[in-house]
Amino acid sequence: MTSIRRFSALDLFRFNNVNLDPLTETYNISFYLQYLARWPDMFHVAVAPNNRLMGYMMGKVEGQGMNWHGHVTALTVAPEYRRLGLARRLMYFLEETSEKVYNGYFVDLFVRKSNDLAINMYKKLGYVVYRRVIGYYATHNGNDEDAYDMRKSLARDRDRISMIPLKRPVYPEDL
Amino acid sequence: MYSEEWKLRPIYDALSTCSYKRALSLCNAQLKKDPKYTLVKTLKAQALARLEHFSEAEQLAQEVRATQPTDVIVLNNLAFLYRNLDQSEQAVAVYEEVIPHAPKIRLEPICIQWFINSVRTGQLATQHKAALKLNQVFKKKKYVMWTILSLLTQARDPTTPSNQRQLKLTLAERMLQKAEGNRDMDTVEGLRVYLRLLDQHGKYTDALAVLDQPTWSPFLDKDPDLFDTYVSLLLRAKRYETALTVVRTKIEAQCDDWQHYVAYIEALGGLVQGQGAVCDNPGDKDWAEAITFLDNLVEARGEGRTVLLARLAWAHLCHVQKLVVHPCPDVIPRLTAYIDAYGGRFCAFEDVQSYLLGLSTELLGTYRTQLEADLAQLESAPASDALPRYLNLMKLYLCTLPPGASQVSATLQDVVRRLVQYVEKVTSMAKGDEHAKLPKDSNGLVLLAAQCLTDLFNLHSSSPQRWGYLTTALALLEWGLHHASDYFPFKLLAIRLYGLIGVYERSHALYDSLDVKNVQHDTISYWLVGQGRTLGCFDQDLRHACSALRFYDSNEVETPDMLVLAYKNGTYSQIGDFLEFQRRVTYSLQHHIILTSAFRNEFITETNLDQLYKTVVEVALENFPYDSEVVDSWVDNRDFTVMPYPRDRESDTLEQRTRPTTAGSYTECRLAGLLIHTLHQITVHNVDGLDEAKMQLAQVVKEAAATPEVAADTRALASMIETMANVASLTFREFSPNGVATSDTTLHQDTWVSLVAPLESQIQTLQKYWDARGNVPQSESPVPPLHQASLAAEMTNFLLLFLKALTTFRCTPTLTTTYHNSLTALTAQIRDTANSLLQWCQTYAAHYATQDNPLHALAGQVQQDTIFTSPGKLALTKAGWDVKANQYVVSSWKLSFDNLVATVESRITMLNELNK
Repeated sequence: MTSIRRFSALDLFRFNNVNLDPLTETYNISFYLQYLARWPDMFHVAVAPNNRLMGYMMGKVEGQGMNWHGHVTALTVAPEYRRLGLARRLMYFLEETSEKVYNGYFVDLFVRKSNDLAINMYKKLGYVVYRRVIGYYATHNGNDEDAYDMRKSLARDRDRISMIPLKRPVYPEDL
Repeated sequence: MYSEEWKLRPIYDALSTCSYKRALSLCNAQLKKDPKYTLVKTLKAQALARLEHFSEAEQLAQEVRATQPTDVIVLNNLAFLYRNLDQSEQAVAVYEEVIPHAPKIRLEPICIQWFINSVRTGQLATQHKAALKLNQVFKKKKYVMWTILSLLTQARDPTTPSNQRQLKLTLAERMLQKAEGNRDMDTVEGLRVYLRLLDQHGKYTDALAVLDQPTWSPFLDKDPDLFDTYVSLLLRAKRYETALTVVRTKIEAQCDDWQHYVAYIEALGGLVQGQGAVCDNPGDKDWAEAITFLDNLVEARGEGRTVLLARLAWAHLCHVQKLVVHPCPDVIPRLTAYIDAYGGRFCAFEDVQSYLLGLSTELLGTYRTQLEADLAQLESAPASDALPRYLNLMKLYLCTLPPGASQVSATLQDVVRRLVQYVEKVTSMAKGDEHAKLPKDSNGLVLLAAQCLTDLFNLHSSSPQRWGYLTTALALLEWGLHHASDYFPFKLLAIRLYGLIGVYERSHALYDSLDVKNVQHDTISYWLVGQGRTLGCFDQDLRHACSALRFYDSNEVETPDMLVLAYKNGTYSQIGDFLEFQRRVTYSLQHHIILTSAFRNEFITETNLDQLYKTVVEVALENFPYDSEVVDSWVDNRDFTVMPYPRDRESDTLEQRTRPTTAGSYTECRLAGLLIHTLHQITVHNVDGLDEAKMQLAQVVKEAAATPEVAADTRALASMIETMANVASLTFREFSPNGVATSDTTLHQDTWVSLVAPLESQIQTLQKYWDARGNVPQSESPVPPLHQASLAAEMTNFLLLFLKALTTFRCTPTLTTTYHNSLTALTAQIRDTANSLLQWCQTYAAHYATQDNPLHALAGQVQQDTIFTSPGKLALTKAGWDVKANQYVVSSWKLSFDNLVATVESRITMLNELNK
């Protein structure tokens, strides 16, 4: 039971039930407002019937030429609303906007290599591991973790060129 | 250009790396070669300002301005300088003043910067002026929108005179209408602004007419948000039939968004109500088919979640609004149908919770009986995959309990036992495996059991056994955390419960592990900030407060920059929200609560008498307003929804009942602000200011007495400071050289006695209290009275400040001896009280902070055996709950007492200093 609408700056006052989860980062004000000021149609929130926030997804469009694409910056769902297919619905919104509004070639996202649950979910949604990014998730204690850059082609990329996996991993500076 | 960049790069680098001296010397070197290099002069002015040579910086800036520069980079540097000097008007004026001289090619970038800097510094009138200029001269579509939004911003700003606001709104609306008609509104973003304005003015039909135009109607298919706006306008315009048709089309197209179903039900309700009569012949009514549409959907698509909930929502609407329809739906069967189908989803309870509201006691009773049977059935065959269903049923069961009934206590105890035993049974603990892991899905059950125990703690507020409920709740939470250390609801409740038994260290550690940051400081810091001050942990509380305060500084810089970005990107629909966000943070109630808390902590942690005095003399009074008009305009952004409990009522929630002593209400903020003002007036011996503060204080104290929203400690402090203010005011009058002094010493001795009598009486009451507690009585609570001790330490501090104020007051020379003798006597009395307090703290510390098993004392008669089965209890013990918790308790109580002892000792040292 979900209503999906655009995220509003005022939602920042009430997203604690989503963001207190340790896997969800709370960024500074300008991070959220910048996305709203640039790509308001790529930032959506799912709301429960009792008006509680269930999760949200923020994204952007970037790149040039054949690399012009939608990017998932954050996708998060509060613990009590998981396993309802919410992430899938939010991803659908972003993919639709990336394709129909921005005419992008593909959508991509980064995910921790260890996050099997998320990787499998994205695979079910049609994403493939395009490349591994070494030490993408840097930590203070040096326990850096690799990321998978996962991609899904949109209609504009008819031959699915953007989804052909790279043979070798890359470093964050190569992105 | 390249050469200029090459030349200036080292200066920019030095400025950006805070090497201001180097930047200055590089600027000087450049200026030696070219003394008229204005850009370098502006950079030099910035370096000077950073080195705090403010007047030189301003002088240099004026020198540059005198040359009437039209290079936008020079102007931007000047504006940047003025913003850093907190001279926002000048930051805008630098652009405005050069416009008459600017060559045409440079005019547009200058005007854009003029506009942007006005937005950034919140100068609304200038912002409008700049937009108007851009619009008139350059006639671009975006400048039309900039002008309109500038008008709207002014119209919504409270500082704009009320007679002008309506005028500006009307003007904005006309401009929007014209822009729409002239096709100047080339993006949906502009349309959104227009529709929102029409919506706010109740002009729904006009808004719908705009959307019906061929320019915009295609967007309804492409833009889901615009479609939602359209439906919302249809409903507000009471065009129910159209609303019904358009959302039905969406529903039929397999769109499963809940807002469409909500709109469908609202439209249907509107249609039925519009008929206003009993429908005895549904075939004649268009909406009869519409009513059965939802039922038909079930047949066509099966029992989807959204459809089933929509049927329940419709039944509920018919029930509470007494709609007479055929077929007449019943709430309970539809509720049951939903729970039967989807009760295994964690959110099922939240989905249906609101549909229990407005049902009769009889209906709720029937449903409760049904739930009892369902719960018993699940209990007969516990299973891991039934955990969510069991939790939802139990939550619904709790919702159906009548509030305040005498049997609730027994029912709650039973619920706790059943919840815990269900969890035990689905793990292998019941088979004696104490190492068994709790299934992930059991977190909600453990939390609910802990919440019920907290509820019991509140229900038994006057009984000693309440502590037993609390420690059992903590045992459950620690047990849960042992298995699911990331589950934040456990932490939230535990922070509050540890606070209630005075265990700040653990509260603090759990709060830290939540990693609260940025905007969360405004919305969630109330969970802990202020708790430390009431438990003797002043330093720790101060650190939390200071860390939270940093967020408010970032709002001042970041939000205006993002407003500018929205203008530049043409995302006009965001501007209203950004401004509202900025307003809510700028006028945040929590911001002021934190400021007050920080001041009180800073004040009591000061160990140097002169510095202590200076803290109050130099306090920035503007940070602590008390005027009701100002305080009532603050916005409460605290998020009270993070710990829902099924038995919560609107005005009585578990969150409210577990708050630390500080209530954080508007009245309390006024009172706290006034206390600081009063203390300040005492320290600066300002009789007139003190009289004004006194008068206000008496008024707010009177108001506070009538409301439970003011914490007891603030109330007690207010009472003492009110007395101090009376004594100080009369003393400053009677004993001042210009006062009513005569040489009659006796008279003045009498006067002094009468002046200080109320204060002495308060001090004596305090002293008697502490003396009587020389030994810890048998009947003392198992939780140490840290709140009272912390309050007493604060009071001692205020008395110390008061004495210092009287000591530094120059009384009339003829009465110096009398005055000082009286003062010495008062000081001695306060010192005696402080010594008693010190002794009390030491005695109580020895009693509480050295116990081996304080939990045992706290648990009292409520034995965990009644809740846990033996294997469960064993698992709890193996998880190390009792050992760890005893350590938390003892170590934290010790920390609090150590802090209090050190604080009181340092006050006594300062009192001794005062005597010298």
